[in-house]
Amino acid sequence: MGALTTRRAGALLLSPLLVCYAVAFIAPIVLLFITSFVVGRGYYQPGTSLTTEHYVHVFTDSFYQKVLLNTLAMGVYTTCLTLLLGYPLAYHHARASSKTKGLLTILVISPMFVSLVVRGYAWSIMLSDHGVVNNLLMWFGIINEPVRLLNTMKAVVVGMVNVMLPFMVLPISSAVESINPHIEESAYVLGAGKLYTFFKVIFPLSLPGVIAGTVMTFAITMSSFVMPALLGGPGFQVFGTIIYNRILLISNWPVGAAMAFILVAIVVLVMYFQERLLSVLTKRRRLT
Amino acid sequence: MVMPTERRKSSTLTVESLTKVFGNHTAVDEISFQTIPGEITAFLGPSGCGKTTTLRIIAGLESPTSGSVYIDGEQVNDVPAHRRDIGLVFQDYALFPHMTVRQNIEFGLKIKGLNQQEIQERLEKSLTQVNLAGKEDRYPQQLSGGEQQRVAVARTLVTQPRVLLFDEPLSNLDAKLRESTRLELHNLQRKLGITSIYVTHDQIEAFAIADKIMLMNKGKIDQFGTPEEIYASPRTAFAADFIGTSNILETTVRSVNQGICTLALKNGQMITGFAVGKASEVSPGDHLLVMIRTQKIRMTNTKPERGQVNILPGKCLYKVFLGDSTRCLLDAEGIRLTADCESECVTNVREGDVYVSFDVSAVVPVGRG
Repeated sequence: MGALTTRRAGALLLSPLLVCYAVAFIAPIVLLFITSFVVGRGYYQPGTSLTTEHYVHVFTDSFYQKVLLNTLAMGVYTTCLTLLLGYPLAYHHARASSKTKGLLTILVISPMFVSLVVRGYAWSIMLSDHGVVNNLLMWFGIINEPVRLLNTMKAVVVGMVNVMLPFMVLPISSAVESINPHIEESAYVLGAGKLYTFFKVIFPLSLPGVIAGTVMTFAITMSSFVMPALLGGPGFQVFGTIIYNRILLISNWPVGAAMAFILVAIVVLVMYFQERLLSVLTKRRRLT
Repeated sequence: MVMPTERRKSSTLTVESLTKVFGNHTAVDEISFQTIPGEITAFLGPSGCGKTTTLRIIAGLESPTSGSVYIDGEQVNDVPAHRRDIGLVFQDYALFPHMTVRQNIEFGLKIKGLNQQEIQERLEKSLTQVNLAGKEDRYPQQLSGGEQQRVAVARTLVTQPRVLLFDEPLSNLDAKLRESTRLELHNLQRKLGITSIYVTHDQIEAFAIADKIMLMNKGKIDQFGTPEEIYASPRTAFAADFIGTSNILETTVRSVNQGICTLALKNGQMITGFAVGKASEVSPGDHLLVMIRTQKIRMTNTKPERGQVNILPGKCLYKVFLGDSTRCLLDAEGIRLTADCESECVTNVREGDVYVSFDVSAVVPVGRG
């Protein structure tokens, strides 16, 4: 009886949140999903007829195809770069003494204390034709004329890596931390050098963290809006910026809605494969 | 046909004034010793005495603040762990959880660049050695603690290391398994003749497995010798207290005469001991710590025969029956003594007034008070 009361009390405590969720989150999404099938440009009203033409349009029109490719490229490049830059940092973070670790943690998450918009504008100044980056490159004689960075994918990826680094570093660090240091030392004593130990022992054992970090980075980057809007501008458009444009600027609700759900589908698909990969990995290791 | 790889000659491990300082804590303090090829040396001591740090320095996982490590006369201070050609078995085994037993054992062989045939031969041989044949395709998590321990040993032995290091390899096993595994380890080491270091805080384990014991305390070597030597003649109060169960008594030297010294206990009673070891250079008035093993103390209701020395009147406070022996807590006029008497001899001794006696040879001087 006690358990039942507790369970009921739990449900009661949860219900305000559930109501909020249903009204403020699930209902709009359902409405938006229906809207993506509406004929014409308006949003759903009872009695309007439905069609799948917006989805077909997004997949067949060359403009939308380009935007889809841009989005995927931005996701892949950002994820790879963040992983390359984040892994060494995560490894040091995991193996640091508790004092250094506290400092490193603050440094890793410090970008999150600054608003995305502020960071976006800061990068747009740094990456402009006569900004810090171009001036430095010319100073060192690496280039003779300013390189176009702003309004290209390069600028957007730089900005996104800055945003995503904490999301990559923290899960990898906790995965590395859970590896018994004696395992690493055993490898050395058995004759393995640092690199061999890294690729044969450390990296495979940290895979759960790597997968979590990359999937999170990929998903968030794919659906990002602020950095592409500020650093990509009209020259580099992605799903996030186009959805904003279609719905809020030219009031083409159904196309914007269809694009939003295509994006959700891609992210869900990636997460599904992550789940499968993780379960294969853990099954291999923890069979009892 | 590939010639079966003959194990090379056993190696000598030499350590010279090894010191390791962490911050302001000296973990290892000027340690020097040499092992005899093929022998097992146990590093014995309480936790925090520096035994594991010394082992890690020998393995190359920790660099010494000063001092040197030599293997077969060659200084290895600057040789990184992966080129030292040693083996190390950790307390928690540290198997590679993402590899099967086979892959774990082959790990060191593949790095050595052996051909497939030799890898296979050594793998099979080591699987038989540690009695794991048929389990090579399992993952570590599918094995019992004892089996994991044997994989750790096999993984190390296949590489035919010059020196084998064990860091409390049995402490994660239950008591019964610990004893049988210890025997297996001992036999295997004897058969292969690899010079070994065995770190433990358990004196019984050290006695059972080691040829030599290096007793450590606070980063220093307290005593180095065979188990028999250390047990029979501990040179310090720490050694006497740490090894076996004993009574340590503070005494004042009254006289030294023809190899016999007479010592006054704190309560004024006199006891007699041989003037050996630390007692050979004392003179009357000096303070001397002596040790009497609990098993060497006798307890009787009647006063033992005349002429015998070292008889103290006392009280038996209580007796604890332990099977073969009975532990008696005694009070000899203000001096507490613990005695482990044969149960048969003391069944009829009542708690209360008794006589406590021990031989002259039971009084072992262990230090200057």
